[in-house]
Amino acid sequence: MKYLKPAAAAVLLWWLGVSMAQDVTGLAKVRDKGVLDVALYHDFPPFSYEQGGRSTGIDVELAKLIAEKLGVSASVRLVPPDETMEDDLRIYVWKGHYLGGVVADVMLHVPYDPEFARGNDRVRLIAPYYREQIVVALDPGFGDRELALDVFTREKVGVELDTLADLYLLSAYNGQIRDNVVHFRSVAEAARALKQGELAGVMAPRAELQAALGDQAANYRLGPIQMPGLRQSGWDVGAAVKADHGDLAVAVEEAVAALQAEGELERIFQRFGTTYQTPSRLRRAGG
Amino acid sequence: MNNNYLSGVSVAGATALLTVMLAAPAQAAVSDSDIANDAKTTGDVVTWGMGLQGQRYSPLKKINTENVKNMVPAWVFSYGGEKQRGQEAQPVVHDGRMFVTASYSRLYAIDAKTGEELWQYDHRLPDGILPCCDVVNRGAALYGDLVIFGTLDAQLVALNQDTGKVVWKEKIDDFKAGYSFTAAPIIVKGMVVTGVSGGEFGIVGRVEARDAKTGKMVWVRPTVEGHMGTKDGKENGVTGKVNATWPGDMWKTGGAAPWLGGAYDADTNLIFYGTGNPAPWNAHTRPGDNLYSTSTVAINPDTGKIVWHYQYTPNDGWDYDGVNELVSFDSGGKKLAGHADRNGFFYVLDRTNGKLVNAFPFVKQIDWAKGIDLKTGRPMETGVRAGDPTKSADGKKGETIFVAPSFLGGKNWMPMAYSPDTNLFYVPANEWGMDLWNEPVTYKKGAAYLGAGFTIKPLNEDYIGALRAIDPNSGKIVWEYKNNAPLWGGVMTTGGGLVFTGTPEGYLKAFDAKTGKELWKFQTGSGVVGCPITWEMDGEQYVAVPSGWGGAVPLWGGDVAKKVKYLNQGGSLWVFKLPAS
Repeated sequence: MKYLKPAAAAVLLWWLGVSMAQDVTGLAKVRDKGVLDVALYHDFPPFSYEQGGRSTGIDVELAKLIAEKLGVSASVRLVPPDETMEDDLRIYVWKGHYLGGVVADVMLHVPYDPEFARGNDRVRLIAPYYREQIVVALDPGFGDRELALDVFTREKVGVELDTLADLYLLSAYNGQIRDNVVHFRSVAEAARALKQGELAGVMAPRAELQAALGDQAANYRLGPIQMPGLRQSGWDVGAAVKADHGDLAVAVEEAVAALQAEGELERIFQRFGTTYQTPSRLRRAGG
Repeated sequence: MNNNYLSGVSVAGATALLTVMLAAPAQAAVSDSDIANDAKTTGDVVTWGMGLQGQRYSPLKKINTENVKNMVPAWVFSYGGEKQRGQEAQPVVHDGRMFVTASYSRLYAIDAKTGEELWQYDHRLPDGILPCCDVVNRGAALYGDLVIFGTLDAQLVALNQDTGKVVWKEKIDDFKAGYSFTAAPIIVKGMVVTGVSGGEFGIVGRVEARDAKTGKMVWVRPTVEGHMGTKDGKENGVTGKVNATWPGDMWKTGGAAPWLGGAYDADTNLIFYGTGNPAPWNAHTRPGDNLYSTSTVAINPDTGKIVWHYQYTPNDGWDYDGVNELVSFDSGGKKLAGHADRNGFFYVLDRTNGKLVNAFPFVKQIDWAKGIDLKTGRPMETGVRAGDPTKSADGKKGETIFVAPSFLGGKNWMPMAYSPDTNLFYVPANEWGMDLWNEPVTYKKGAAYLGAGFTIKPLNEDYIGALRAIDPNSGKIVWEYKNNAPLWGGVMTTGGGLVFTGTPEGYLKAFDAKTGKELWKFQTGSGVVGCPITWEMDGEQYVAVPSGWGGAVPLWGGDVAKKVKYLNQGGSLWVFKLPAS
């Protein structure tokens, strides 16, 4: 630098400024347009779903509050899941679908798991905000001892089709539960059948099941259950942004940490009829 | 129209009339007998399979082994727009007009003589469709003055052949639930017959027949045991027997989608449809044969009931769909049918009753079974199956098994051909296997899941694709042509002693049907994964094929994708003939 004449240095500084402005990062782009585009799963109560033509749910509220912390408004897009989470991250976060459609700035309800992150280096997995867990809701008429799966070797258990609970129960106890597994299109449908006395229990992620049981949740014994042989029956849930959007990642992490510290996260979960569970890898505000 | 009629009207009126005549020329309707005789009549190709039996054989011999080397383009038609990807269609041609479907649910009517467009129909696709395996379409059906095709958002659309205007439109199912449609419908006894496609889980396969003129449903035949069929809106008997081959309530979401095209054999009055793999993917969760997945079902079009079935891969654990076509042929006075399955075996069935007559490998390596027992009709499994993921779900990657063929199959969707002259089948085969393992750390819809991982691997350095001439009686491979990239296009054979097929590298090629000698090739500018046809017009023989690389290989191909990633997309229809002498 010392060999540059002052005028040339000024030109260089100007050029650097211009090129930095052109090379907008994720956060600058978001602030520039004044909108945070957020991709959320459709038909996914209590997290993200439509009610009376409007998007609502825990993740919808969270998206709005994150946007607010960033000083922009949220534009929520409810999208269908593809076959795997990797597909969803490709379609909605870093590349887009070959049919067209733009990627979002951030996607919520993405698992926060270092092992999973290693195989998905086009995105940054950030901001764990909740811990989801597979639980069972059991009709108390079917035993008041400790919750255990063996009751389902004799009694019907409802699951959402093609979920962890489904695939697990089809193989558990050497297949002795298989014939009692009743499949539903959603956790809500399984919960309805439970309320109508058609099942002894339902196995599903906690928030979905609690919300589906609604004000009748207290009538059932609900809790985690021993799932022998399974690597994990619980997992942290966070957000994803593009790998090169480092400043956006930091801003979203700070926003979520603040919402956690303020108790706002817990209030949203309560509002939607669910118990808030702290993620195991919580990022604390300012930490 | 009598020309004298025009003399009395004004010039303006005459011009208007003339415009109407040009826009809507009175063309001959496609009749039931046109469709029934399609394989024999050389002036048109009015159905998928170049005849309902699906032999893809034309008796035409003006272009033959002697002169095919002279064949040149007659015209080429561009599908236009920015939409490209896989062009897997078989065109149909009737009374001087060609109808061809293209990617993204488009359909074109073209003057078969000049290659000029008559009209174009772009189906409006809704947001939020997630087709599993590219945006292909495999062709249209002709009936009366209608041209009928299925769309990516699972609708069946009937257009007027003259104008391209929609005459009727019926929803096959809800695209939001994962349904789609990519196959070519067939017309049987005035009914348009289709399967359903898409939806890797949670769906139940079915074959449907609608009144081709109106779209009104006639019968529905589910392809999974336990489900009630209907005819004329009334219950029409259950498919199979509940829980005979499925545990618990799993038959309710058993898969077995007949997502590819069907065939019809008038000799036996049977419709043949192949069915897809059972759901869910983990075979350990569904002990039993899981009927009627990975099977051919033979349905009587008058009753809408299954007359017989043959299952290729009981309790499928390798994703070997059984959707490939069953092609009728006669040999030694017997009514037979041939099928080249994803699982690597070629099956010869008695098409009157579905009994196995012969079965043999048509690819060089098959790991999952030693052979097919001709007495029982069942595979003799080797035990090479993926482990149960719940048994190794402790966080360690499960044991990896290698099995050939890969799930993309010894042969995929692309239809083979049969020549009654040589009595040989011409099979577009691929040599590849796959690593399969259980993946304990997988997620789906934001939730932990028990998934499987796979990688497709070529078996040979120098080729994946192999066009093979196969003798269905001896099981011998009479000749083969090897191709670097996997073959993904349909095959056609002719009375001129020729076999035609395309390559991803962009060539349409012609081979000697007896020897396999390559006699002609033409570079079309993009990969050929469509189905060739041939017909006669004004005393000359023509050959047509779509060009446009895509389909499942670039999406799923694993290591194979490296072999094809340099291939460019496209979207055009090439037509060839001999030069004027």
